[in-house]
Amino acid sequence: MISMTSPLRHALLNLLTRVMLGLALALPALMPVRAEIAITLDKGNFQPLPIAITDFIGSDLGPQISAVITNDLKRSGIFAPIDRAAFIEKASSPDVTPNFSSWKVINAQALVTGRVTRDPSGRLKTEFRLWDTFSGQQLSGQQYFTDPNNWRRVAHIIADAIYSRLTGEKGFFDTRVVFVDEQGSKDKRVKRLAIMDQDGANLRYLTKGDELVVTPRFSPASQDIAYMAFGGSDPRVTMMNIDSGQHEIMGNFPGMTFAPRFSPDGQKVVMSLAQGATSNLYVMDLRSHSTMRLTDTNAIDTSPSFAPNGQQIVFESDRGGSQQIYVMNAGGGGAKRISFGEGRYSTPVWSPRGDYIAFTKQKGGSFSIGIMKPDGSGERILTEGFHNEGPTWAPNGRYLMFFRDAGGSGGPRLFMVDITGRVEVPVPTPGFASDPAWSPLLN
Amino acid sequence: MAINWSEPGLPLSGGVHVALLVATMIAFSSTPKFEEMPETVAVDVIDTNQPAEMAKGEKTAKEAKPDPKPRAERVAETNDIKPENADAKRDVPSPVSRPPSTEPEQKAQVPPPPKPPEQQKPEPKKEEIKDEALVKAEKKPDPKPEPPKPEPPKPDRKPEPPKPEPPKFEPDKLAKMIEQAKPAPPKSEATDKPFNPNDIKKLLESKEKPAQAAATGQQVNKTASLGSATATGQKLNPSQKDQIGSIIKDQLAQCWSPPAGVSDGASLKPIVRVSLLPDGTVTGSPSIANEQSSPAFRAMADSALRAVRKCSPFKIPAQFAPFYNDWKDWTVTFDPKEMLG
Repeated sequence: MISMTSPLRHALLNLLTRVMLGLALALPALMPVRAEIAITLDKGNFQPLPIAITDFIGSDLGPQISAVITNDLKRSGIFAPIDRAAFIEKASSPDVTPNFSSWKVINAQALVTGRVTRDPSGRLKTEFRLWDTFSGQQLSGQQYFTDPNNWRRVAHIIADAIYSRLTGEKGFFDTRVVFVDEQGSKDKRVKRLAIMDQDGANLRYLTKGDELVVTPRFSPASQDIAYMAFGGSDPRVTMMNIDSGQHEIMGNFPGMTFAPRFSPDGQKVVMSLAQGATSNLYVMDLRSHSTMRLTDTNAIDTSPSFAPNGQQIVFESDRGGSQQIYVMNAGGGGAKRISFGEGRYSTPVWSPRGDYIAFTKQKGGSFSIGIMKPDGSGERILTEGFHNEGPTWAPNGRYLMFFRDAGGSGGPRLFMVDITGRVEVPVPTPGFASDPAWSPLLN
Repeated sequence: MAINWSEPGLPLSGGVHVALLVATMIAFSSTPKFEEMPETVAVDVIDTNQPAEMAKGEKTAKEAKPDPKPRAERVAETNDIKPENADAKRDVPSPVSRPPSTEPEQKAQVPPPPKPPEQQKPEPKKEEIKDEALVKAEKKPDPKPEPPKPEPPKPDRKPEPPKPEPPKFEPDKLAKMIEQAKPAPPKSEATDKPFNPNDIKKLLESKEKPAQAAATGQQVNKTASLGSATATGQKLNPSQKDQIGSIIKDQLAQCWSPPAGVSDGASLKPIVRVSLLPDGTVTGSPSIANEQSSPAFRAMADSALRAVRKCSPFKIPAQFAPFYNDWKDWTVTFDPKEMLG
């Protein structure tokens, strides 16, 4: 055997020598000729990007569109739109390369120019260009045609394009929010479902306030919402089409159903069914109306939420003694607890991006909104206080909306926070508001 | 002191101690010796040149190449010497009429000199001081052929002693020839004078050094007098390298605002190549060495480039000035891992 391996070894050695020799010869050629100092920077200084958004020219709508874009970008916390009063140059045509030096002077790192015109058929034509003032290059440029009444949407779409080009993420400005509008004194609160743009504009009421409604949820695939209504004898999960206003009670369950949520493809709804002192999770197919039981415990299982790939469901359960978060297969089974911190965890929601699960955490008399990775690691509290609840994800998985009740005689309000916890801004609503549900990006 | 055997503590103790001592001595003395082995000492093998190189310049440095635009050597009063009060060296404006010939592209702007004869006539006396050294010293020829200031007496006084004198010739003819020869070379050959434009060109490109006249230059040569810009310089030692590295890092950290909360942000690490001028200013356009096409990488890379531009000029302590060649080029890896959740 040895005599057999010996030639083989020899050949291998020979080969090795050649390879080494080759490398040795090639190496100097591969190495940079310049002597460079290489450093790795792992620290930064988060600062909103100064951006100059000029008034779009060509129409009265121009400045209004610019104002909506400015407001969107400012609310994201990632951008610091520069006060127009500081501009050295005012509006300029998007066809002309701007004079970058006069924008650099005011420290604008990005610049937006645009124009609004009407084409012969009366449609609104909106163009914009996004420039990098230092490199002097155009980063993005688009034009959109739409009905003049949709000018706000065009502004949101442009804000999304800017956001997306500069952060590398999808935008979230061209979205809507359904929430529970609360009017009246604390003991006689009228709760109505309402829908508005994410910046608070275009508010519209969906219900009259004659029945109590909570926990609305957006379908990711259609203009439908599911919510819990206390209309008849038992509270029931109800589905409503936003455009037509038609609604129907979902399923024929022998008891109270609540906490509905759509599957990522919009084809199914998962919800809780209460029976006696326990509640279990069910999934219902919206086309066949067939239902399937997912859990079978003597505990309270609720707040189910699909992973964006539809393969798993996260939910809260007190099966272990206190409210905690569990992840199981979408078909039921294989439940595994993922929350192990102090306190009680509830209302888990899986991020559309898949990388985080948002939750409400109760500990020592305060309610926090936080996120953790789907394996339970990396828990991070984003906001903490007397009462924070009901997180809902922006479609890009970068922001969360929730409602906060400061206590006292007031009522709840909506807020938006980003997943780093650095940005927190109030969401304008006409009155008190709770239970926000963020829509997917409109198309 | 009699030993009380009923209380044997002291003697017993003493005895035992002595016995132990003896035993250890025996034990240690009989310890087998270590096998004799050459003691290993950690040694870094370095070339004999290396220490010298760290201390001195590079011996293999290329010879100083004459710059295409030769800059003056650092000589004290460069800026003090203004043409107005200058005497001999300075007041020789004759090159003004010539330089256009050295740079053809400027020729275009030169309106055809309308009256060469009258203008050039006062100049003949300058011929002896025609010195290519001066030509080089007057590096930035004014493209406009402004008529030479008629200062005939001064050239006469010009005392420059050791200047190598090129072949003499008459400037008016030379000028004429330049003007004529460039646009239409054939014509120049038609002239009956012994000069031909190639000679002039040779003359202008003479290898002779600018010599002392260079002191009149406006710009001081920034490189050391030995070696070329790319091959000289003392070397930073490793700790100095660390030091200047952390100086740059601290400044960049203030300027860098990566897009926070980007999904998979931690895996995006743009590498930026930066070149600095001696004053710390970023020169040229910093580039990404590991370009990728994903929007997230592009946004991260943009934030890195913005940081570099925003930080320019970097503040480099004066102590590093002599080592400029060793710190002018950088590769910076921007690693957002620590900052993104």
